[in-house]
Amino acid sequence: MGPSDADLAARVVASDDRHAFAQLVRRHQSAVRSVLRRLCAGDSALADDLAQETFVRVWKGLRSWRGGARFSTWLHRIAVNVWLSQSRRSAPRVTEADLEAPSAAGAVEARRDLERAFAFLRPEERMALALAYAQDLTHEEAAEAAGWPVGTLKTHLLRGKEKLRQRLVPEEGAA
Amino acid sequence: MTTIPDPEAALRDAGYLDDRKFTDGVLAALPPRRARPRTAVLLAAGAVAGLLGAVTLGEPVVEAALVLGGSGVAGMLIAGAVMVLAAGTLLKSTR
Repeated sequence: MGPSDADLAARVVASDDRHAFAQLVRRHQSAVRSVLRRLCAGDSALADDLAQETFVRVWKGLRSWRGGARFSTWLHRIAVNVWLSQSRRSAPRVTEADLEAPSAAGAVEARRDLERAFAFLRPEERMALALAYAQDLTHEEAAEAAGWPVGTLKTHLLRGKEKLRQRLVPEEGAA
Repeated sequence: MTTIPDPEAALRDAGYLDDRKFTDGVLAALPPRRARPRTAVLLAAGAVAGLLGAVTLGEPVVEAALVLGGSGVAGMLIAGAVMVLAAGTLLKSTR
């Protein structure tokens, strides 16, 4: 067990400790990038750009993290805000052709298809699914990261899951 | 697009993304270190303390400022600390 998120954050705030910040980034990069890949419907280059922007904002705003929420909840909230800002600025880069392109079988391809299927969801459904299934977040924390009550999260979650099921689950009797 | 028999299970299985050079990229994108006010505050405090000490000991303010300024940063701090000590000693002795 290494130092806690709070300890590392305190070192960053006290002395601009980049080594401590690098530890925070390494610890959370996978979770944040995974959430953003789903929000960006599988556009991994865009997702990584937004993840980088997320961590830069964390660096600049770490003093404002009071420790009331867990660090990961606060971090995911920033990631969602970065994605929302970006999606207001520009149209999606995933095209219809991308979405319909057949994939090879395999776990990685299946994961990629799942991410691409997020393009068929409304933004709030993407947020609900991406956050509720994020590593390490409870539904309460996912709702907090989205800025919603838990009931709202669950509503969007149900709708999103149903749309994904319709898109991805093979119909019975189909070859 | 492939079919996924159990999307919920697939949602739970986000997998782990290797860092590769991601953290290095973040560190390279960070803004430069913020200038800390600590040094400036220490210098100002040292200078003020030195001047106060000089005044307390009856030295003219202008002369004291010239001496402190001419002796450089370290000199200012040392002189400030010495003069504060001297002023304290003087005050104690007059009680």
